[in-house]
Amino acid sequence: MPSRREWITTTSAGVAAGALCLANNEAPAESADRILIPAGKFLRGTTEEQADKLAREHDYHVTWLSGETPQRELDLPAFAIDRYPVTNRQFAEFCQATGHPPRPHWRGGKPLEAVNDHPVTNVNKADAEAYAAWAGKRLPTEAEWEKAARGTDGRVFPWGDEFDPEACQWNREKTGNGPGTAPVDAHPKGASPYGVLDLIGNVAEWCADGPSPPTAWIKGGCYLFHEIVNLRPAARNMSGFANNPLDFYGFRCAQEAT
Amino acid sequence: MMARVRGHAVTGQMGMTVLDIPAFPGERFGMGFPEAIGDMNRTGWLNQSQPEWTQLEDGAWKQTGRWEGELSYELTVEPQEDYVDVRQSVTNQSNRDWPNSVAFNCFQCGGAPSIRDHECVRHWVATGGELKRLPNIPRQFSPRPTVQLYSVEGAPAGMDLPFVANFHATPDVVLEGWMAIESRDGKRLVAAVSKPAMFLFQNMEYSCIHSGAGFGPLRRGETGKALTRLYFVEASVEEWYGRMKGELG
Repeated sequence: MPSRREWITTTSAGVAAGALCLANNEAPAESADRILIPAGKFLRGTTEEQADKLAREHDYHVTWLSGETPQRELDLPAFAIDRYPVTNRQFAEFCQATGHPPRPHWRGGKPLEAVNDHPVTNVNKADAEAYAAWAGKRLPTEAEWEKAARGTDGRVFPWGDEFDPEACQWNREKTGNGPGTAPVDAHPKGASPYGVLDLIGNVAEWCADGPSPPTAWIKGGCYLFHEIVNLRPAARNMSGFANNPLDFYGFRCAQEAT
Repeated sequence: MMARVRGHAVTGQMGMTVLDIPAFPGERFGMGFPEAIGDMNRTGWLNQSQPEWTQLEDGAWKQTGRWEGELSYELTVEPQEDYVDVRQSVTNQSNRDWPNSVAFNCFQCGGAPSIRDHECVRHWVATGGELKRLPNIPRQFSPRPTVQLYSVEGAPAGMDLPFVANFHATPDVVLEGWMAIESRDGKRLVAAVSKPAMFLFQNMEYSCIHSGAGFGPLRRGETGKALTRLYFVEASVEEWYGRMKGELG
């Protein structure tokens, strides 16, 4: 645990630069797990050429990707985002502190020890927002989530333009319920240009906004997915009813930068 | 000898749970029959009627429901060895003639690990007599990106049906009136087939498929009938398709 308040900053070119920028007034003590995404433009969505290539390579009709085309440049103010999704341990602490109902699949009101560091699941948007408010944070918007995952250069995956089967928790073997969740830090190769981890696969993550009320975007795919088309930050085929907790829905938190 | 499919009504709701399915041991499927029913221009959702369940012989169930001043309906759920037949009827009790009518029936597969498919890659349909994976069919992106409604052969175009058009999620394609999900091992499948079918629907969020049963135009006081068959079979998609065509045409 860092002894002083600090943000981790990154360059748009790649891995977390490791340069620590003091921001004593606003950054929380656990800031090593929270990453500052600098203000500026990024490429959101997918080009027609990328969509054609993905559709051809993965045997989809190209219209399945039409929600993410064309690619656009979008300017966002700086924000902070958690390096990892919220874990069972963290959510259990929240439940204990606030009386919020524990997850229905937990036994005795607590997660199993073995999955304490796995992302919490079976959360609806209200659960996620309640946790975020308790932590003094909020959910990221879809645009923030995508920028945190892709950086500024329009890459297809957080780690580059080619899928890496070791970079995320996905349904590689196409089994019934997939491999289940993994610890949030199990796939260091999945780091985004800013050093944000576990964005693809594991749990699909609630965003603050959505395509139409009462739904919200669910980003990143999950451990059930085995289609690479759906394991990309730009993918937009998944949204959820805000009151719907599923066994592959989780979330991470964001926060204003100042 | 194969056991029979069993249905368990959920009291006070329109749903049933289908258990003890020979081809899917230990797995369960949900039936939201109907989630909505009635006039295509003003379809009543489940919270607007008061369903009542009655257990019949041979594992069958009957559900009746009423939306005062609008409609009454009845359905029977008859489990067989590897399928469940749902026979529905609806009576127009409004003071309007209905130009068309439908039952929006949900076949929920999210609770069956070997079938659940939130990516639609094992969803199958047919168009022009050709079997197709759903991702090979055009999709219409909409404010509800997880859902899609499809026009079906022998029914009015989806965009001419207010209930369907309201979703803004209907691609320009016409399918046969069924949808299937293949198991992950490729040896089994489930399917929803309605005779007659008014449209198809699927929702990735819940991994559910719908074959909307069509009752056609109903004048005041008239009753329409339709059949929906849910299959739970050990067969390839091609094998099942041949069987289904032989059974239901």
